[in-house]
Amino acid sequence: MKSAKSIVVRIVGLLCLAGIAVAMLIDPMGEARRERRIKEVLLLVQEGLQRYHVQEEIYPKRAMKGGELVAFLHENSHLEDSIVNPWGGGVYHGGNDVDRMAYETDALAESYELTVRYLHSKKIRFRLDSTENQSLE
Amino acid sequence: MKIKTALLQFYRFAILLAIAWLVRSHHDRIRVQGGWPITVSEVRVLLPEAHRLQIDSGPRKGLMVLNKEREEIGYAVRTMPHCRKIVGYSGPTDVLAVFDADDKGVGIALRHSYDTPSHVEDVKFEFLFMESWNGRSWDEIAEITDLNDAQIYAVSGASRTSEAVAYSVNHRIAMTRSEGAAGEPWHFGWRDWLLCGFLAGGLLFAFKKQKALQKWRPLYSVATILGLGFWMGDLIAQSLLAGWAESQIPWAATPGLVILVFAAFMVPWFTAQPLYCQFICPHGNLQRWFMKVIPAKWKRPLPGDGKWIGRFGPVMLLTIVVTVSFLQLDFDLAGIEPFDAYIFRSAGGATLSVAVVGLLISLFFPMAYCKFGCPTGWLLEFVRKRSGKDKFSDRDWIGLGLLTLALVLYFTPLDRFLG
Repeated sequence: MKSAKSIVVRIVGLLCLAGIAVAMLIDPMGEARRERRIKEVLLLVQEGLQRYHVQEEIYPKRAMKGGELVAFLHENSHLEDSIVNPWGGGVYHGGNDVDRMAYETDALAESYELTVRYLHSKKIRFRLDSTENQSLE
Repeated sequence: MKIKTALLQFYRFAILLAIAWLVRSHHDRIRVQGGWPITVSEVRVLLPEAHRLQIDSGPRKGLMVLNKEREEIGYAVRTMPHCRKIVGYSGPTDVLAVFDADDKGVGIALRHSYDTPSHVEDVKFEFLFMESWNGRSWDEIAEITDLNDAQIYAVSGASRTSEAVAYSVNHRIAMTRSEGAAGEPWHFGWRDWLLCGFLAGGLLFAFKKQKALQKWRPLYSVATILGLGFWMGDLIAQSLLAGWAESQIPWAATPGLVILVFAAFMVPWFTAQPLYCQFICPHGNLQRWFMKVIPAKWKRPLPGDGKWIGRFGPVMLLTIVVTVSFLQLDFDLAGIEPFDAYIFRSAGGATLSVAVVGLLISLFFPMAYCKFGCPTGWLLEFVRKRSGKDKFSDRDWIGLGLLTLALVLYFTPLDRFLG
């Protein structure tokens, strides 16, 4: 028969191990969730860009942060629904929220490039463009 | 009694096989379905009796369409990600192609497109084009090389988009033939011979107890540390086992390693001899040397409760391995074990830390890593035949728990965890 102290020690020990497992998994799970949201947003923005291109025959001329681009496409009715910022959780627009997406085009605005960088580094996580990387799969 | 013992042994092996099968089946599903899985409702538009989709991990790498009675009534494939390089006006298109039970096309559907939306709409509503594959068999489509010859005509005003759709469907169907024919040639190189040599050495020391032979064991132990560990880096690890379970066992590429792993599980299962842990594992041997050279006064006894809790350390790590594998998390499994540290030029910080800290702890608590930290050792010990009276123990319950976790992760849609 185990003493009460021994049982408490064992339960606390097991809880600590469970806590370590959760702590090790929580960050990669959060990243995986965010990655899914980012991909969904990228696809919506890319569709909006294509609609803009059909109407204007060029892509937007200036480089923009993701939120700015979303607001711009909204204003011109190329995006219908409001998009949620995959990093902040609020409405995605050109505010001060965390925004790791960037839009660029060439001098004649004939091609586009959407890039998403990692949250804590400048390394590119996703790239979607009209020349080389035309899908997320 | 013998029957009970045999049943328990089969139970243990069955638990491991079942977990490995679930991991493989889950990853087959991901390989076939890609990032955007085909749903039953999509297929039902073209095959109204569709009730369930079943992964076909054969050369076609698609989905068998089943009805309510679980009879196969058709087959479905998507063109992405295989055809991502087939680009229309401004991007590739993901096409669903569905076949009936006679292997004849019943229709295609555009799932998602990176192409210009208006062109995609034009293609979608050009029924003559969209029905071009209806009634054609899988083999007929696979043989198409010229769209015009096959009487598949591009959609006016969206010719590049429609051609990309047509080529994607044809390429997706045809690729199953070329992929099916390819196979890696079997190769048994010097590394494989060496691994078999280490295995043979381990078997000799495990089963031949003559003094004349056993006096060479220290030399063999050093050889495993320097040769198998630091030189070859071929240690059995969770990252290796998970990788094999997820994709395939590399019979052809590294047969020596496959034989070593096979023996590491089967020898203790048959004979109760912990062959790999006790004789071959370089990290275990290194700790054994530590145990011999450190002064006895350094050694500390571990309290009973500490030992009891410590036994769950490997179980906690196995829980992480199963979760990471099923959810495909960005988590390097090599970092939870010290084995990659033996290739120290390419080893990550986590694996080096586990190795160094584990060895330092073993200075005070002999073989601490093997007893309280090694998930691979736990698996090998799990299947090991017990000497004497065997009964359903804590380990067997834990094995059942790991299988339950694998089943939950297998049957729950990923969106529930990562949505």
